[in-house]
Amino acid sequence: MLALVLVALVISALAGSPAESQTPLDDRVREIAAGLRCPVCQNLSVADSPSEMAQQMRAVVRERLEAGQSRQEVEAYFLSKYGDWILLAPRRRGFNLVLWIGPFAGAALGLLVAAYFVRRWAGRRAAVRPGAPDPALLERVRSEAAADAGPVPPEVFASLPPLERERARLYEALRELAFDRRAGKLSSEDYEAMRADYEARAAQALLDVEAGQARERAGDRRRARGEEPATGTAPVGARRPRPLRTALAGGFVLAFGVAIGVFLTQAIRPRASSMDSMTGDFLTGTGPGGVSPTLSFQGNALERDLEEGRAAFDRGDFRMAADHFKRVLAVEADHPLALSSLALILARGGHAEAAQQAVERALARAPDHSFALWVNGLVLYEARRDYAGAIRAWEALLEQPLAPEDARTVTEMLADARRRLDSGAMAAAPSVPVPVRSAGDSRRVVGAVVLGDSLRAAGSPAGTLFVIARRGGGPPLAVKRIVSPQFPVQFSLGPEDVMVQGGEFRGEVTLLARLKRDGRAGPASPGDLEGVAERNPVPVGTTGVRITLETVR
Amino acid sequence: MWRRLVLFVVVAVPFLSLLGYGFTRDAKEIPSPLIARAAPPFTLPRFDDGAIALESQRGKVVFLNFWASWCVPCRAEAPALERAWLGYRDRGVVFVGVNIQDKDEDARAFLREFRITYPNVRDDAGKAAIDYGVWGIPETFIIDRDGRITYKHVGALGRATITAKIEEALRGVVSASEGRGEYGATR
Repeated sequence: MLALVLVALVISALAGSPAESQTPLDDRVREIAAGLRCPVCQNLSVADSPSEMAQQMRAVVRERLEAGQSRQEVEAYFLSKYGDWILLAPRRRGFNLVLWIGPFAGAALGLLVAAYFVRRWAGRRAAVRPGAPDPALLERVRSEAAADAGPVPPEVFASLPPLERERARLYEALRELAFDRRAGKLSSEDYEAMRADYEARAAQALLDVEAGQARERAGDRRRARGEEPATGTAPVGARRPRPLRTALAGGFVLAFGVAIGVFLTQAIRPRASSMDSMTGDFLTGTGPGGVSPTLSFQGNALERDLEEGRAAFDRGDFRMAADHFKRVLAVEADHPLALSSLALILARGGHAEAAQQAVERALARAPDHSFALWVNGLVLYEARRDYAGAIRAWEALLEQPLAPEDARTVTEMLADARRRLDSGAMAAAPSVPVPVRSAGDSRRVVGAVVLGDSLRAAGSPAGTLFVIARRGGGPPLAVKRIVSPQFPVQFSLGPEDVMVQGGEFRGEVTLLARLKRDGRAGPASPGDLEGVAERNPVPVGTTGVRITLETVR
Repeated sequence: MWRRLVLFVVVAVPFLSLLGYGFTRDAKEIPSPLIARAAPPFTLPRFDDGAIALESQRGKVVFLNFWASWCVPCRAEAPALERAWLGYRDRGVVFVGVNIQDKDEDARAFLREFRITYPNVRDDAGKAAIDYGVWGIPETFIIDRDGRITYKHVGALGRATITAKIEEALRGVVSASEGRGEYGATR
C-alpha cells in the first residue's frame, strides 16, 4: 500500500514537474522572442513566426536562458550577430531617439500651432467689438430702431448687402426685445443687459455700413480716375465673389475626380501571380508581367500557368517559365506538357540528366504525347548524343498525327540523327538547336558554321562561338552562344535567342559568326575568327545557311 | 515677413532633411556587424563522413557559403562556386558549404546535380546560421587566415566578385561593407 502511494507520488511529481518548471521558462522565451524580429519574415516577431528560422532562434533563446543567461545577455547575443535591426523596438539612443521623441514632439507642436491660431481668431473677433461705443452713436441707433416702420419684408431683406442686413436684423431684435419687455417676459435686469449688447452691436454695424459706403465712394472716385482699387482694402465682411477662380477650382476638382476614377480603375488589377505587378506594364513599364491580358483571372490556374510558362519561354525568360511549369507540377505532379517543357529548359541549362528524367516521367504518364516525344528526341540527340534513342523517339513521334510542316521537320531531324549514327562516335558534336514548340519552323534560321580551308588543318580552335543576327546595321537582334564548339557546328537561331526586348525574329537578317578566344561577347580582336553568311541577308525560315570562319587580323 | 520666413525655415528644414535622409536609405539593408570581427567557430557534420571544425582551417582563407537546395539564386551561383574552388584549392583557400533549412535527400541531390566537390556540412539546428546572422540565402562569408571575416555577400555570387574578394582575403584586406547579389531568396 505504502509502495503504491509512493509510486503514485513519484508519478505525479514526474508528470507535474516539467509543466511547473517549464511554464515560466516558456513565458520568458516568448517574452524575449516577441522582441526579436524574424529575419525571414515581413514584420513578424520570432515569437509569432512559424518559419523554420524563427523556430531555431527560439531554440537558441531557450538554450541560452537554460544556461543561465539574462534577457539582456540573450538580446546582446542577437544584437552582436544581426545588429540593431533584430530588435523590433529600436533602442532608445542616438539617432533612434528621433523615433521615440518625434511623435510626441510632433503632437505637442501641432497643439501649440492649433492654440496659436485659435487665439488669433478669437482675438480678431474681440477686436471687432470695441468696449464702449460712442453715446451719440447709441442715441442714433435707438432713434433709428424706433423710427423703422417694422420688420423688413423678406424680399427686401434678401436684396440688402450683408452689412445692411446685419443692421436691419439687430434693429429688429431691439424692437422684439422692447416688445418682450412690455409683455413682461423679461426681467428689467435681463432687458438692460441684452439691450446694451444689441445696441453696441448695432452701433458697430452702423459704423461698418458707413465705412463700407465711404470705401465704395472712394473706389468709385478712383475708378472714375481710371485707377485700380488697391488690394487689401476690400470692405470687411463683403468679400467680392471671384467667379473665375471658383470655376477653375471646381473644374480642377472635377477633372481630378474623373482622372482618379477612370485612370486607376484601368491601371490597377488583381495580381495574377507573384511575379505580376499590380499595375501590369501600364505604369511601371516593366514589360509583360507574366500575364497576358486575354487571360481571365477566374480561369483555371493550371491552364494559366501553362500559358504563361509558354509565353515566358517564347520570350526567352526561362527562369519564369520554369517557375510556371513547376507550379503546374505542384498541382499535377506528372503533367506531360509541363514536364516536357521543363525538360527542354533543363536541357538548355546543361542539366541533361534531370532533363532526361523529367521527359521520361512525362512519357511514363502519356507514351504517345507528341511534344514529350519530340523533347525526348531532342534531349537524347543534343544533350546526351544518344542518336539511336533519338531516332526511336522521333520514329514513335512520326506515328502520331502531325501537321505536315511538323512532320517534315521531324523527318529532317531523323535523317540527321541517322547520318550521325552512321558516321559513328567520331561525328562532330551537335550544337544546341532547341526549337521552341514542336517544329515547323518558319521562325528560325538553321545552318552550319565551318572553318576556312587554311584553318581546317589545325583542328577545332578553342573559344566561344557567337552566331549573331542583325537587322540592317543595327545592334544584334538575336545571338546564339556556343561554348567550346566542335566544327562544323550546326546552329539554329530562333525567337528564344532574341536579345532585344520585344524584338521579333522575322523578315531578313544579316548573319555573322565570331569565335572569341576569350569567350566574352564583344567586338573581335586579333586572333579571333569571324565569318559572314554566304548570301546575306538571309530571310528567317531559311535552312542550310553556311558561314565560313577566317582569322581576324 | 522675415519672421514668417525664419519660422518656416526653422520648421521645414529639419523636417525635410529628415525625410530626405529616410528616402536615401535602403530600408531593406541589414548591415552585418560581423565584418572585420572574428568568425564564430563551429563544428558541423559533413554530408560524406566526418565533420569540419572551422578552427582547424586556421591559416587558410575560408570561403563559407550558406545555401539550400530550394533557393533559386543558390542554384544560379553553384557552378561558379565549384569552378572557383577548382581554381583556388591549391592556393591555401578552402570552400565550405553550409546547408541550412533543407531536407537531406534534396541537399544531396543538389550536390550531385552541380557536381560539387568542396566539403559541405549540415546545420540542421541552424545554430551556425544564427551565429553568422544569416537572414536570406545564399549568404557568403570570406574568412582570412587569422579567422577574421573580411567580406560578406548576400545573394548570388559571380566569378568576378569571388575572385576579387578571395584575393583580398589572401592579402588580409577587409571590405568596408557587405556586397549584395542581384537577387536573394528568403523563406
